[in-house]
Formats: sequence, structure tokens, C-alpha cells
Amino acid sequence: MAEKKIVKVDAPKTGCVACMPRTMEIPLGPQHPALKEPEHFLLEVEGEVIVNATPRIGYVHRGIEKLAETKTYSQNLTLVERVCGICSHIHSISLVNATETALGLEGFKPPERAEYIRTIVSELERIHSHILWFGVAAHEIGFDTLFMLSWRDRELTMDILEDISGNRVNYAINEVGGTRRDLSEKQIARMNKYMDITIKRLKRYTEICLKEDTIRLRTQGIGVLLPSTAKKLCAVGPTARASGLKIDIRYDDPYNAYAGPLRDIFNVITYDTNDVFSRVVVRLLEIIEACKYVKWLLANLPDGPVFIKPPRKVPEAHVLSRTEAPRGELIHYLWSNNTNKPYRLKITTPTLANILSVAEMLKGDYIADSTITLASIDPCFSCEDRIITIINKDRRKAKVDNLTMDQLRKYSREWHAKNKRWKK
Amino acid sequence: MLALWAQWLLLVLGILFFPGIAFCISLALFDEWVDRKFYAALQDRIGPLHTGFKGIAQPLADFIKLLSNEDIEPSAADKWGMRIMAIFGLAVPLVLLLFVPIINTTGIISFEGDLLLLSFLTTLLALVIFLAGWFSANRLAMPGTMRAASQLLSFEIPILLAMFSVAMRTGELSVAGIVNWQMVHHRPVMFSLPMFMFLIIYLLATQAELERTPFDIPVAETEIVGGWEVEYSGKKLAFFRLGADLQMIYSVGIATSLFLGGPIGVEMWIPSFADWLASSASLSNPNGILWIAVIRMAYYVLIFAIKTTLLVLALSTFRALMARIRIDQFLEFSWKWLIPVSLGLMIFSIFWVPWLDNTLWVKFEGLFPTGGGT
Repeated sequence: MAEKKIVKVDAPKTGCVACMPRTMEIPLGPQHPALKEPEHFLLEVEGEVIVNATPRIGYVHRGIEKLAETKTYSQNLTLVERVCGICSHIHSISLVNATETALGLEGFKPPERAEYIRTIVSELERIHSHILWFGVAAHEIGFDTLFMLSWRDRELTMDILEDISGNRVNYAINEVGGTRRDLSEKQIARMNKYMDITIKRLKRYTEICLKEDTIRLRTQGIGVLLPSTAKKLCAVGPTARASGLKIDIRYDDPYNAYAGPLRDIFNVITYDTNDVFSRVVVRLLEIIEACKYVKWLLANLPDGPVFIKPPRKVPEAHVLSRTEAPRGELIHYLWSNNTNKPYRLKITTPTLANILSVAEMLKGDYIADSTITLASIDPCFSCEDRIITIINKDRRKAKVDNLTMDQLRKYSREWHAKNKRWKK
Repeated sequence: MLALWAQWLLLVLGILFFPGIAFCISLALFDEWVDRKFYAALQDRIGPLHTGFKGIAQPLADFIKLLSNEDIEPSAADKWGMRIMAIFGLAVPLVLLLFVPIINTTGIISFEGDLLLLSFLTTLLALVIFLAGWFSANRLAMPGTMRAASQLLSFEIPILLAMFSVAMRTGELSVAGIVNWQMVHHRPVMFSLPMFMFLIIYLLATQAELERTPFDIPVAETEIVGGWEVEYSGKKLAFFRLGADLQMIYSVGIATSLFLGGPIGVEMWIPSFADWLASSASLSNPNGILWIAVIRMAYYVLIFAIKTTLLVLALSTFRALMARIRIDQFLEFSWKWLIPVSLGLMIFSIFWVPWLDNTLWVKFEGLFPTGGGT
């Protein structure tokens, strides 16, 4: 056996270009001006180009699912509306649909007029959410004029929502068994008028976006998500539709009024350039479509009551309720156990489904484009967090200490003995 | 002729108050208000409203409020560097403004070849911004500093080309000389096609110099949180803000002098009016009439303010119309398009314009009573 030779190699001098690592890690978030909510993306960059992005979620865990188990179904509607600040109504629709499906085992059916009103409100919510996103995206690429003008036009929809529900954000119009408010003739006339104006304005913005050079320079060819990748990573909503996938829960698995004759005129918007520009166009066209649906629903609003008193207890069932939120597919999984409180409620928001896609989109982009790419999925990070993890300083090894109350007290006493100046 | 001490007193008063520091700061704050109001109107907003008549005192109120704010200096930063750069950021535009003719056809400081000094001082401003970002030792200020350096340096070239094309066209190397050339030839420099293109190039480059949309890349709020000025607060930020306003006034003021005839208005075409204005008292003409001197001063200030404000309106329209472009797209635009175009235009204007201008101008000669060829 030959003797092993040990060759001593000098450590490379610092500053040697060839020995330096090729990539550099740049953190994006959790606190960043482009992110309205805390979220962390670790970007590996080569020069100005991002080669890899690792998302880390779980900064705003609020314990909503656990809290939902302690409240009645009616109270839970108020709770789940607070999951998201923008798409609040769609959460309550999901839960109310799940509850009514479980009640349907005992022959309960909500009135048709109530389902139409729910659908109208959810489409109005889609309009205001998409215009809000459009304004934010314009601000993200530094086009403040478009931001101001689009938010001015969003006020029309906000006014309608305030008119019919009394609130601008959390409408609280749903109730198990129907809706809390009815629409009057005056309100319907006003909505029709405002929808016409919104359609006109949005057509103008679509025209501008298709032609304006600086918008196209900043959005075309960045944040590319190929259809195959989008399918593999389970992208949902406008993000998937902008990659050319024809996915829409309103059409594929219709609920409420979408299951009725509205399905005949329903139009799934897709666009095929797969980049940020594609997402802008898809959302703008969806707003116009949503305005048309609202007008159709108002014209075909059935008569009858808007509320039927449901049974107090929900029979035992497992219900999976899928709805199309403005950001994509929203899943509420309800496990009822023949009481007036859910045994378990599981919520999966569309941002969670899209977070892997955005990590894929960031690859190959410039650092300057990372914010608009991130904004292009219309992220709502606070809605998606259902779990919290504590991660060590070296970011790679998870370390969770389970401490009992006594251990925590002991730890606290020791810590304060060590750090005297914190004592008062 | 006045006594020597009186001349000196007038000079010092001029620098401190009337066409100098106090007046320029007032004009800068007024133009910031005009800019904000007009920008707001383009975006269907109201803009500043409560301080003074329709919010006219809002820029001043903002400045005073910023002065009173807490001044935070990061421990890692070069503190004296930051302080000195803030002072430079205000002082350099003030010095530049002394060269701009406002109440007279000459600035407070004027000598043959001051255009060269101006081109040097504007480049100094880019250096001040670069060092200001460098000294603040912030992770977000660094990319902003680098972007500012590459942007300002690449847009210095079109500005210099525009300025020296005017100098070549008129054969003068001082601001006062160029203004006088326009007076003598009864037309602004702008009234010829290549020079008009140079005015547009100058305004475009000015927009980049002032770091306003679509060229607000070094201070992009949504990308790098304000870029090089991220660590500046309180008095230092107030100085930089006022310095930016003054720089805007200087840039449009020089554009006015070089292309639009400076403070000279309609007397360019009405010789009797020009003679009447020239009959006023001045240091060189002590036998003139004093009250005409006052009217002449007020008239020149008014014309200057109108012209600069119109250019500021053009700049704010441009600001409202576009999205911010990326730094690589910006550099491509600058080096591949703007600089070659201005160079080509410069060569074009050397060989063609004297001939073309004369031919065209002679045709329109009859329009104005005293119009004449070069």
C-alpha cells in the first residue's frame, strides 16, 4: 500500500477573484419597502442577475384556524372575513358554502336570490382587488400617474360596496342561510351606471398598457413562468391564466350563481406571453369581464327571500369548498361534528399556491425587477401563514425548543440575573 | 459713476437679496409649488392646499419643518463628510445661479468663458451626490450611489454638447454674450431646427440630472428606498431638497438664457421699446432715468419667471407621463441614442445651419419689423 502523501496547500489569499464564490446572497425582506407585508426571499445573485430564490414564509401567523374551532359558524363568518383585508368576502363565501353543503345533507338549501347577491359582491370585490393591484404594480414600476388614476376609478366600486353593505372592506353580507341585506332598485340602477363607467375606463387603461413603451420596457420578458412550469408548481388564478393555463374555479367547479345560466356567457381570460405584462393584461381584461358579469347578474336577479333560517347544528361531514378568489383558488376544508361549532377548519389561500411559482419567476431576472416580479402574483402574505417556525441564526437548521411554563419562568429569571440593566 | 464702496455694497446686496440668494430661493420654492400643483392636477389630485393661498407656502413650510426634524447620523457613516456634502448640495446650485441673467442681460457674475466654468460646476454636482451616498455607508445607498454616478455622468455629455452647440452657433462663450447675440439678431437661438432639437435634448438630460421620473433611478423609492439620500434626515435632507429645487431653477434658467433669450421679452422685436428700456439708469449709464430702471428690472424678472415656469411645467408633464426605466435600459438609451444623436446634430449644425438659417430666416424677415439675417 502506497504511503499517502500529504500536500500542504496555502489558504487562498482574500480578495483573489478566482477564489471568490461566484454567487452572493442578498436578502429581500422581511422588511422591504416593496413588500407591504413581511416575507423573506433569499436571492442568490451573480452580478445583477438572480440565479436562485428561496422563499421563507410564516411571519404573520395569527392562529385563525385554532380560533375558528372555538366559535359558532355565524361568529366564524366574521372571523374568516378578517383573514384577508382585500379579498374578505370570498373567505366568508367559502365557509358559508361549506356549511350550507353540510346542511344540505339534511335538505337545507339557501335561497337563489341570496346566491346571486353573494356572487355580485364577490365580483365587485374582484374588480376592486384587481384595480388595487394594478395601481400598486404601476407604483412599483414608478408610474405614479397611472397609480393615482386607477385608484380614483376604484372608488366607484368602493362606493357601490359601501352603498350595498355599509362597509368598504369587510362587507359582512353573508349569513349561513342567505345574506343579511337585499338590493333595492335604486342601488341596482346606481351599480349599472357605475359599472358602465368602470368598463369604459378600464378599456382605456388596457389600451394604454398595450401601447405605452415604458410600461412594456419594465414588464415584458421579465418574471417568465412557462406553462409547463406553472402546471408543475400548481400555480393558480391569474398567475396560471397569464401562463396560458385555462384554470378558473368559477368555470371548472362552479358554485353559487356561476353554476346557473351565467356559465354560458362565462369567459376564462388567458394570455400567452407568460411574463409580468401577461399578468397585467389578464387582470385588466378580467376586470372588464367581471363588470359584465355584475351587469348580467343584476339583469337576471331572481325574486324571493334572501334569508332562510338554517338549523342550529351542522351534521357531521367533511366538506372541501373551492372558490375563485381574486388571487386564485381558495380552499376551505371544513370538518363538522354535529354541533354549532366546526371541529376543524383548514384554509389554504392562493398566495401559498403561488409562492413556489414566484421563486421560479425570480430566477434569471435583474435585481431591479425583483419587486415588480414579486408584486405580479398579487401577493397577500399575511393571509397565507398557517404555521410558524423558529429558525436558527445560520438559517438552515430548524431548532424549536419546547419549554413548559415552569421552564420558561426559570429561563426568564436566569436571563434577568444575567442582564442586570434590564431590571427596573 | 458711483463710489467704489457703493458698488461693492450693491454687489453684496445683489448676491444676498435681490437677484441673488433670497430671490432665487423664493423663485425655487414658488416653482416647486407650481410643479407640485400641476403634477397633482395631471393625476386628478388637488396637491398642496392649506398653507397660504392654495398651498403656495407649502414648500417653505416643508423646508422649515425638515430643518426642525431630528438629524440622525449612522454610527458607521463619515459624519463630517455627510455634513459637508449637505452644505455643498445647497451651495453649489446657489453659486451656479449667480451666473444666470435674471434682472439684466448679464448675471451677477459674468465674464468671457463663464460657460466653461458652469459646465465644470454642474459636473461637480454629480460628484457631490456620489460622495453624499458614499459617505452615508448604507447598503441601500450604495447601489443608489452607483446608479447616480453612472446616470449623472452619462447625461452630462448631452448637456455639455447642447451648451457648446449654442456657443458655436452664436460664437460667444459667455451666457451674457449669448443673451446679447439673441438681442442683436432679434430672435432666440431656439428658432432654428437643430437648436430646437438641442433644447429638447437639454430638457431631457435636465430631467435625468434632477432625478425625476422616468429617470428617478438613483432614488427609486420602491426599489432602493430613496437611494443615495436614504440616510439623510433633518437639516441635511432639507439642504438637499432645497438644493434640488435650486438646481431645477438653474437648469431651466440656463435653458432660458441659452435658447429662449433669457430675460429678454418682446423688446426683441420692438426697437422703440428696447430703446426706452435702455434709457434707464444703470451703473454704466448714470445719466439715465431712475424709474425706468425699476420698471426694466421688474419687467426682466417677470419675463424670466414666466419662461422658467413654462419650462418647469414641461418638465412636470414629462414626469407624469412615463414609468421609471431600469438602469441598463437608461444607459442604453443614453449611450446608444442620445449621445450619438446629439453629436450628429452638433456636426449638422456646424455645417448646415448658418446657411439654412439664413435662407429660411430671410423668408420670414418681413414678419418682424427689425428682423435681419445673421
